[in-house]
Amino acid sequence: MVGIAAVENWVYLLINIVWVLIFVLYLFGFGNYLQVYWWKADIKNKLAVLNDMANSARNKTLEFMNKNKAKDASKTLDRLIDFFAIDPVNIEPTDIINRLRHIINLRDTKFKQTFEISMPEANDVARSIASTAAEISSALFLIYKYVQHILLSSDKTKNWYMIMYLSLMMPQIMQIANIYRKALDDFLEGVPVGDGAGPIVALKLSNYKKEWREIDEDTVMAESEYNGRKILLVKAKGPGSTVGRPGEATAKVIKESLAKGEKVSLLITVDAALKFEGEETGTIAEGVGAAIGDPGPEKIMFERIAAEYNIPLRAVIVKMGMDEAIMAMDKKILDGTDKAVERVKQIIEEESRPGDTVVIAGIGNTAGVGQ
Amino acid sequence: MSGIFNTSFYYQAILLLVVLIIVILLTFRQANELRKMAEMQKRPKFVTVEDCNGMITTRDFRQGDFVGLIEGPCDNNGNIRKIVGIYAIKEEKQKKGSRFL
Repeated sequence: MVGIAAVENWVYLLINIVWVLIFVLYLFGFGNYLQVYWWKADIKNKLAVLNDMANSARNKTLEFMNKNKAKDASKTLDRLIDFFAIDPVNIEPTDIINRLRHIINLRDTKFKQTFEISMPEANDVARSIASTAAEISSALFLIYKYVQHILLSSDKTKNWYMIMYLSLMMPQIMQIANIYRKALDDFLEGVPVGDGAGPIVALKLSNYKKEWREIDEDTVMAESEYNGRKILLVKAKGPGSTVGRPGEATAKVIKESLAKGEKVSLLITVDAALKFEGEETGTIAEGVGAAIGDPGPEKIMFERIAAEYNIPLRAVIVKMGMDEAIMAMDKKILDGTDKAVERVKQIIEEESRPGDTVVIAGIGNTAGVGQ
Repeated sequence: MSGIFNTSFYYQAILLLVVLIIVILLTFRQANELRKMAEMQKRPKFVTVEDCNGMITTRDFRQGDFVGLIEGPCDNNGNIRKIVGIYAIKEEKQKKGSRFL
């Protein structure tokens, strides 16, 4: 019995030592170490999911390219996945828009040419879809590589704050990656995405009847009529996946119209726009300025041409979430395009006179929206 | 004898319980990840909206459909059927609380 009591004492002593040890370890940062370990494990787990997403996006894109008889599909895609565009120098802002436009156009042309060479038997629509799929795959690999880089470099430099920050950002990063991954399937299907609201509005205003002609790279225009006004419509050339060059095209259309002696009294841009959380998808709003979400070169074209000829620049937006903008179009957004058409007509009636010319640009990706 | 057994038993029971809870949590976590991955594979149903002289009808989306596609005459009056919309029917998100079900 005495022996048993001695063992009990030893057990209690051991337990006390363990508690004191844990207390001392916590005092010297063991708790932080455990927390960082947990964060790292969580990030690694999500990193594996990101890697799966990027690889499955690559495989889906390859599958689509091979279905369209692409030559060296794997090599072509791997080359484009790592393709980058360097921002122009901005500490010297002179002419930055032209330099930025040059770089963006160069990048677009490079992608286009690559798929023309790789998929000679495919049509323009298939090539543009493959190009968009390659861009999405590239974005997913970039997200994966970036997260991996932050994790490894912060681990290497023992920067616990960076790991904490990354861990807190991971849900948002995963959400964005998920949206891209889902959007890829929708683009490959060839259905319109939420961002296609602008081109659909332009198409509806043309009454589906008018002849469209290409006025700029991947951008088309058509003439229509509404209550005695001449309507000039601009949109990206569909049904392939492209946003075209609406700014450049609109400037050309306005200059051509003015050269004919017409009075351009109104310029309206229609685009999809991000809603605030809590707002209803598919609701519309109007304002002034150019409704277009490009990095700058196209938007500034609208502003410059409107300012140069003193044309009122109006904007109509169809509201949606970020995920809804790049994923297959929701019914609420499609219904929103009807409301946008009505609002555009209302603006035309209120702010122009019969005999005037009104230019309307339907901005957005025209995947699944023809003319 | 019973004193040692009780102490050891309680500590082992607590340890086992902690391990069990961790395993259950990790399993749920993994299941949740897998559920999310499976959800991602689910494709929404696409619907094509057609217009024939103002009469709107819907049908299942077919490969090659696009908004603005003229599908040909739809009646004897020379009217044409055209596609005026394509949209996705998405499943509503599950309510909170049924996360693991």
